[in-house]
Amino acid sequence: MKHITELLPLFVSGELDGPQRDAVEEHLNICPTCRAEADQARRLWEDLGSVGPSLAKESIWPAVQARTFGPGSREREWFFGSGGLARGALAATALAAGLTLGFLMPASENAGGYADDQGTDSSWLSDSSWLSDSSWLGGDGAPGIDDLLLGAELPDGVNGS
Amino acid sequence: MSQDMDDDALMTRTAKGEEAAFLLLVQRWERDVLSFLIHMLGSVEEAEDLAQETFVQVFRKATAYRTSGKFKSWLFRIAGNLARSRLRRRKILRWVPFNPVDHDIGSTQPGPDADLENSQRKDAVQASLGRLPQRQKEALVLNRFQGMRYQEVAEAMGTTVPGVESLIQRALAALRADLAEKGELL
Repeated sequence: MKHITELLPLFVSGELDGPQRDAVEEHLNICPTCRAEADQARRLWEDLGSVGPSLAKESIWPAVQARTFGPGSREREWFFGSGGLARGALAATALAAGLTLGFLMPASENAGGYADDQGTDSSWLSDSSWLSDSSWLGGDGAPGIDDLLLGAELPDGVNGS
Repeated sequence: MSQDMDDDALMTRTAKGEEAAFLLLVQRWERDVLSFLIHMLGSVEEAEDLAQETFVQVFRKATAYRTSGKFKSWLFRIAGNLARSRLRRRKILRWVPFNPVDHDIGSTQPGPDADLENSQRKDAVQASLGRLPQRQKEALVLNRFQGMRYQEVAEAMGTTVPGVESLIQRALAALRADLAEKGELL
């Protein structure tokens, strides 16, 4: 009699469908060798089912949420997510190009500043003396943050007027 | 949002940035993923770490997911890839034997004498499972513990149904041989 031991894993795991399963059961009824094998396979299958780990009750959702919908996650996703490295490289290249151009361009005709196409005087860009001159701030020259944000006047030229 | 919504529908909504849909997916699958990873890695802490990473990957890849009713296979493929990557990083080429003492296995609870033999046997089965070759163990865990059909296991592991049949057959034979050798006769 031909044995069917190679089918027993499929049999005990419930992988066989109706007719196949019926055929195996029929064989097991008449073949003591395969029946003994099937009993062992069933027992091992049941034992396997009892060795799962006990899982903690805490959900991993808070940690996953922080990395997907939490504050800053969108920015991190933009940089580190799919295609993020390419975007990062592009951003770095653009920044480097901008800095290079920034250093090269003022060296020409307008030494001390340069006029843009509209003729606006932007010489203050290269004149940093106003930074150390606190007279334009009024008072003791030590403004609070509110002064800076709300009311302080800038020196002529700085506010673009 | 309805709890009855299927995985594909939830993935479609997740791809549109709906947090509630993603929350339902995580709640639905986190225990299965965690259990699978604990079996694979033998470490609860690492498994929790990779379970989080699995769902972050699910979120990141949501727009690329093609709805086809195969979310479970897709999910466990991600988890399996992460676990294999972690094992490679450890430079361990086989599954780490699962230590029930370290990892809070229910079967290790001391009980009446009548339960002691069963408890020892379960520990022996667990240890033998931990000694299986990586792919055999992965196929067996997905089939036995995650209730996945051979077709689903094949999709999750990137192999064929006959390939899964072979892996599971060899895994069970190896387990029986190992248990017999350790005196845990079947």
